[in-house]
Amino acid sequence: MPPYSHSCDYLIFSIVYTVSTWDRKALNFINQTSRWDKDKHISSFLAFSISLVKNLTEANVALQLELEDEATAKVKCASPVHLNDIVMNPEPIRKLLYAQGFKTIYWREIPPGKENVFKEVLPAFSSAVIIPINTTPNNSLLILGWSEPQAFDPEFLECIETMRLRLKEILLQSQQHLYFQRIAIRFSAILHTIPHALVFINNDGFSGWVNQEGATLLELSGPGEQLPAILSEAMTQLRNKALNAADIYKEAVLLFSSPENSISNWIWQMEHKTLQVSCLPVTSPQISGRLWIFE
Amino acid sequence: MDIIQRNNIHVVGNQDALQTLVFSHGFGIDQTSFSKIIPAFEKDYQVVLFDNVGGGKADMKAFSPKRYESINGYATDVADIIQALDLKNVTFIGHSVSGIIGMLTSIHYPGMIERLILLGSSPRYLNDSRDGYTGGFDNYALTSLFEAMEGNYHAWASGFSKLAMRNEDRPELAAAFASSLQAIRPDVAIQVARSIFYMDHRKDLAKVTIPTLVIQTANDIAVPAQVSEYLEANIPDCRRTKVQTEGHFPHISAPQEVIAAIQSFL
Repeated sequence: MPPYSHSCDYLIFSIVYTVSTWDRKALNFINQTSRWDKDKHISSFLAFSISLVKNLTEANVALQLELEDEATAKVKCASPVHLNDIVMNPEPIRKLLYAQGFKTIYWREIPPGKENVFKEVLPAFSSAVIIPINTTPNNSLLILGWSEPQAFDPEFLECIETMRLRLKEILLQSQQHLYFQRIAIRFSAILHTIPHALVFINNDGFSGWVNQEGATLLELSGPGEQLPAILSEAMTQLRNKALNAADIYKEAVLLFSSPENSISNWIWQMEHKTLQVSCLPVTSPQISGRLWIFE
Repeated sequence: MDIIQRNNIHVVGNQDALQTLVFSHGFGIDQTSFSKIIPAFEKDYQVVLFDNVGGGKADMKAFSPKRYESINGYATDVADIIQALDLKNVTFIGHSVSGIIGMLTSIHYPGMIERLILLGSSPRYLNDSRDGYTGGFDNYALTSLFEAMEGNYHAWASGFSKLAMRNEDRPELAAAFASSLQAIRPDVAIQVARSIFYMDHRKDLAKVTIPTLVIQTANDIAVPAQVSEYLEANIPDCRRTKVQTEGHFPHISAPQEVIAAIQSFL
């Protein structure tokens, strides 16, 4: 075999190896984030994913920059962590993103002076990649920085674009989780503050919910999610303790056979107090059930 | 956003001076709190005064709950001011929380501030039993403080101002502070107070690379003496000096002492 043939083989091997390295890293990112999605808690999903991008690309810094409002761009999920919570002005960042058509920006050399709108987080780096991730309501960027100059060959660019697509899914999932968590906290606080006992029984037969007053009235272990069977049993016991249990039973038969399917100002006479009870159907495209209100 | 309008910036003193002093007020007051200090520096220094967003005559439209969720938003404001005015050779004098704000600006924007003066500042107000840190407040005290603020802000402002100002022989000082606190929109005051009282910037102290002077207050409800000692021990190039007056506002109650302390450092 002529000597050049060895060099040629080596060259091909090198190219294949290089290509497969970045392909493998992109696949590795998708695999690891998919596993995390199934096994671990979503609250740390985005931070884990950004840290993984940092490790796979051997960047020296990786962070999410969320454009929260007209006056606020905030650093999150940063590695190193001391960069977290830095606030930046969003306007020059938005201008840069618009100028680049919201495409990934590859800075082989970080521009000097005012052109580097990320100087707070990229103060002494050589190269950087800025990955816009458009979501609603807030746009985010993933910023990667390297101390040593980077070449950013086409295979690397392809890997980053693959990671960008997956990151968008992860970010959306994390944002939705936070959104629903905030809603749950807010409504839970409101419903627990209402002075009436509230009991919701879902028609699916698997879920129900009581507020704090409801849990106390029904002598349950605590407020929140409860099985409908447990709620029904507790409500039967409450009804049986009423001094007018027979009247309540008759009214209940009427209630469940009436077309309105609802009742209010229903008196349950207990030994030491009088409960004014309402029972209302709850129907929406997502949920149907029955809300009991004990005043 | 017009930075001058946003922060109600005033530049006074010697406009040709090579050195600039930037004064930044603490929570509940405004740039006029330095009025007895400024004349001593007007001849030799360019002096920059401004109001933090949410206080004084700063533009209330600029208050973003997200930007000012933590004091990092204020640190960015300081950088905006220094850049907008193209200030050089800056000594930043920050009272109370503004000392830490200036410290963060110096860390996030290396080279922007040359020297730092922390007047009655604290990196953390909450005690930390894990490492024996005394910040001056326990969880119960802070919970009670915010309950009082949320329950009746104006009554809280009146009571807190007396405790923070001390100098009972000059009740007009506490009355002026109460009036300044009461002028702030309660929801804004509560959010800003929350970001201050629950902050923890102890780990940032070691990152300070510029000469720093800590001016220690006495009998200060917000900052016990141990905090000033902690700052001196943890900021690399730092020295500490005490002023002989009580309360959290020595630049109001004993301006000559504060002037002397600043002059000794410049």
